[in-house]
Amino acid sequence: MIGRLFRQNSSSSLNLDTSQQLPIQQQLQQSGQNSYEDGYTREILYGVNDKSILKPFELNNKFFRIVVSQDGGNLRTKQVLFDSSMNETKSNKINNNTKSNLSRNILTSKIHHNINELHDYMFGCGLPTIEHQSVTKIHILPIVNNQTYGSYKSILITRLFSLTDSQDSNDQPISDWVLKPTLPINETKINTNSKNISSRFGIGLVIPLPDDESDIISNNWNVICHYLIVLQKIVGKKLINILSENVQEGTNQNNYIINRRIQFPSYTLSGDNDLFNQLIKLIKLTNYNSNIPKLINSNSLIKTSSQIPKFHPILINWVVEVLNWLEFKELNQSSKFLSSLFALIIPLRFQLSENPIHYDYDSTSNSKDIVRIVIMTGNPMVAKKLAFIINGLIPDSKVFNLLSDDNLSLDMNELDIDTDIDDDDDNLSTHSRLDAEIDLALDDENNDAISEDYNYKPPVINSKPIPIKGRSSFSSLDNSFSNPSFKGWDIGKSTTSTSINSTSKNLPITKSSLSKSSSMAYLSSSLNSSLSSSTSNYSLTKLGGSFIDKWKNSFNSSMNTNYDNIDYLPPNKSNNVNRKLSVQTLRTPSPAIEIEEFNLPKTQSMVDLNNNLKKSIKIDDDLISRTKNSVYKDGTFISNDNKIKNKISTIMNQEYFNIEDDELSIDIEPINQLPNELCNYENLLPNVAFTDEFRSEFILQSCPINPRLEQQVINSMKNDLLFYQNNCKINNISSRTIFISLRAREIKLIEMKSGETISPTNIDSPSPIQSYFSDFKRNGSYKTSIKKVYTPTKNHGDRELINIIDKNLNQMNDLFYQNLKETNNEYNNEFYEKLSRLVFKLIN
Amino acid sequence: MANFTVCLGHFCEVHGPCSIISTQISKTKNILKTKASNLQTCQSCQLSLPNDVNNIVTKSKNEFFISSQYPSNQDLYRSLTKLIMKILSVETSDISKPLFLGDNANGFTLTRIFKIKDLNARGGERKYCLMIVSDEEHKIMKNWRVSSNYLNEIIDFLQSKVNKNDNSSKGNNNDNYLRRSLVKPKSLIELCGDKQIFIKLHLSAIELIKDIK
Repeated sequence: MIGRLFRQNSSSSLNLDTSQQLPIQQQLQQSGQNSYEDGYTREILYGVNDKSILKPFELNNKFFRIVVSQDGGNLRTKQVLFDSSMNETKSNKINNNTKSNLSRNILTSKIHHNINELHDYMFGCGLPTIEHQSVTKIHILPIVNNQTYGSYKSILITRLFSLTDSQDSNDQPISDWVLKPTLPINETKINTNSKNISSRFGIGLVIPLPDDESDIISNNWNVICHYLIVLQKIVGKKLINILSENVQEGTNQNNYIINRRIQFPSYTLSGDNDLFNQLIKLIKLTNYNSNIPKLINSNSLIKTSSQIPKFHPILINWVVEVLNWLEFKELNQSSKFLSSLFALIIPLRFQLSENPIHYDYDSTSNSKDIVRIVIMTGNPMVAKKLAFIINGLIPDSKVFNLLSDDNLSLDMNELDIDTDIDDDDDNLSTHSRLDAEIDLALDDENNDAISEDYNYKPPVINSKPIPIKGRSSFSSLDNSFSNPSFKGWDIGKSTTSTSINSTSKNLPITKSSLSKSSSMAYLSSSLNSSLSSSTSNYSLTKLGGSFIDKWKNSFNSSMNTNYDNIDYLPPNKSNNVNRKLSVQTLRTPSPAIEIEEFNLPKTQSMVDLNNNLKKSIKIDDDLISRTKNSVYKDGTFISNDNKIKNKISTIMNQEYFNIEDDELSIDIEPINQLPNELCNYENLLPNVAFTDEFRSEFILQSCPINPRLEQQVINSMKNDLLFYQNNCKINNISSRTIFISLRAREIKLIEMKSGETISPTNIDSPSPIQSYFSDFKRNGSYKTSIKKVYTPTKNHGDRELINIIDKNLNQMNDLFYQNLKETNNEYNNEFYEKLSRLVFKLIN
Repeated sequence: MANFTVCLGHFCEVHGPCSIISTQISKTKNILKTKASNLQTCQSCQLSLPNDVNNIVTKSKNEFFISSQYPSNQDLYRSLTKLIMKILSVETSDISKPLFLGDNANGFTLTRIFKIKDLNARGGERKYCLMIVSDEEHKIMKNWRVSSNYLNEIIDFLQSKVNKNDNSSKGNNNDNYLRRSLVKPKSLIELCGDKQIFIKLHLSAIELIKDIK
């Protein structure tokens, strides 16, 4: 008996192929102590120090399930066409007539809901309805208790759709009641000789939930909606294919059409590997989107840093990270990597603030512009710095409006503009272009004059596409790693020298940092890529897996990651701000120097900036609160719950109402003594610091080094075009990706366009999901261009803009050191205002 | 801006699924001109207000919150009727949990079905649904937590009010058995024992709309 149970248990684990198991799930079992997330990281990336808020959900893969069923027409007659919980031997191909090769495992069946119960939720079990349009439903399922896996809460997302040959009646009402689904869908139609064929099908997704469903479902609804539409298209296409294969020769009759209803045999799709792959995609989608916390919109925080009641240190932190990058990551003075990157991002920043999976019903133009940024690096420490820097450039008007006071714009305009930076004549006028209008015809002679009408009005930069002067072919993919002589910032794949350079003795190394053996590897910076081999001790795999695993593990770590004693422990006395590590030192990485390279810039610069560093830059926990996907102002979602309870209680227990009545209505005054309004909240943009693999739903992300990453990005860009062209009926679609390879020190701009301007010579290979969009416009071709905007040897960026940005960055640097000299680390308002002004030129 | 409507639906034993009260926001005082008594309703599905009026109006800043039995907008009326019919006649749901339902023909709603004890009703209980309806799906989804909290609180209050007012358990079993056969429409006012229950629902709906719009 026990043996049988064990056998069942082992076989039941295979709802997913072992080769397809997620890294997330694999690594959960590992007990690595790879905590690299410290308080400072949490603050700059996520805006909070409390790591419990960011704790990932534990979602068991076994509880995920996809069901495809058809409505047989009568009550309680639903046939299952596909059920991912059915344990099928893959070697056995589907037999349409029997279910002999399908066996429900005893243990597996107990961890899932009964299929008939799901059918009741999916199709309803009351009156039958006649509908053709797609319907979406969400049910919170009863808890399933299982002895092996425990009890779990789950949700059922249902998508009902029809396969029909009847045409839609486009009777959109003419009123202000205009229905707007999250994403529109172009319903799949069938062509048959018969008339009025129609059958109803349902797709059910069972997703396990933590206690609060909102962070999983509602905050990621557009992603789930996109997935549902793609899955619906895939299932619809498969069913139509099966239908078309079963036409009787001669009679032209279809075996599966009975009484004007399509009736497939049960389990018709049960052997379909595509649908099992869709289950994997669902698991990944849920895990990546609900468990990877979105970056706090530091752009909004910086803009509001001086307006919110308490000083928010993120502006200082952002500048420090930028300056540290310039000081320690740039090859030399003329390399201008960061300036080039800024010059590429800034004109696209408003497109970057738009969710890639989003349909704007208010847009009058028949166009869609999608922009993403992908950082490819093996070093999460460098990635997080760059992600933080880039994130500061991406605006989010919703979060800005949430965080800002009503009189913010007034305050911004009231900033004293006469406090110019000494020793710099041409600073303001030059940079005023950045927050006004990017006019490439800048006259350098005018730069000497200081602009007096400098202001901080809402951003009015006209986005100017980066000129693409040459067309690269896909062969340029091979160039990414082809030149080993280029010194990148990634960890080299080689055994790193363990010798400690003598110059490191003076560098501040906190004890706690050194004790983190696993962290040491991450601290490896970038300073040399000549150490490349495949045997690196710093390889992510050897260190216990992926970014997200480390993120998860950091919550299990017993290590004290208190804010004060990790990164910001100031060095004792050895802070000579003018001392820079020599280039030679920085190019000779060792584990020790790598730690120092990481710690030094932050500690040194910040401590030198202000003696009261620890007090001034620590974020006050009361400033904002957040969940993994949303940000709250002046409270938390729990406080909202209490306020709602109090409001309803007050209203319902009210004895007297001030009523005035007339012939047709009674007028009631609102109750004045109700509890305060709820704290407002907004969903954050899908910008993340680390992800194991490229995710098309994220705008900003850093991914591990993967030779196929660029192709994955290109594929997802093709899917962008297909999706919006076919479902949203948008003709002119542009999908762009700024692809940053830190190891190769390259910035590429990958661009894909569809629309009337495209010549037929640039048609690319079909996308993997193209075949599922039956009405894909073959003549609506698209073109791809890949331009290397920046390489260590060439810079094809907008030189004028780069120079402007470079000047601005230099001014920030000068301001810091000047402040240090003149005020002896006083951190006064004048300095802050000057710095704010310089930063606003970049980010506004 | 999304249109939000908060609606209390009921499965009337005489008239089937119908709306009792729906609250919406409007820039103008666009009210129903019909007297309540002229609507073909029974006690159980009627919006019972003083002076036979059919509207409750609250002005807040420059907006009017109007509650009436049916919305004045024809498209919204059609959507609401279909949604109530589906929720109360077609859907199966765990009645302690919210249910989302939506399509691009009838609109999008987050709702909770609930039952209220009444020995004079078929099966000893009356079936209601409290719903938030919008024309924008993502607005409903974004406000899932706040909306579902409001639904839960309002429904909990109604049910507790009815339970407090329920005198049926005081009689003997024979009386209860005999009364079951007397199917009698009952207003929520009678069930709750609160003449101002619709005014309270109106004010609660205002707070809900204000917090999610």
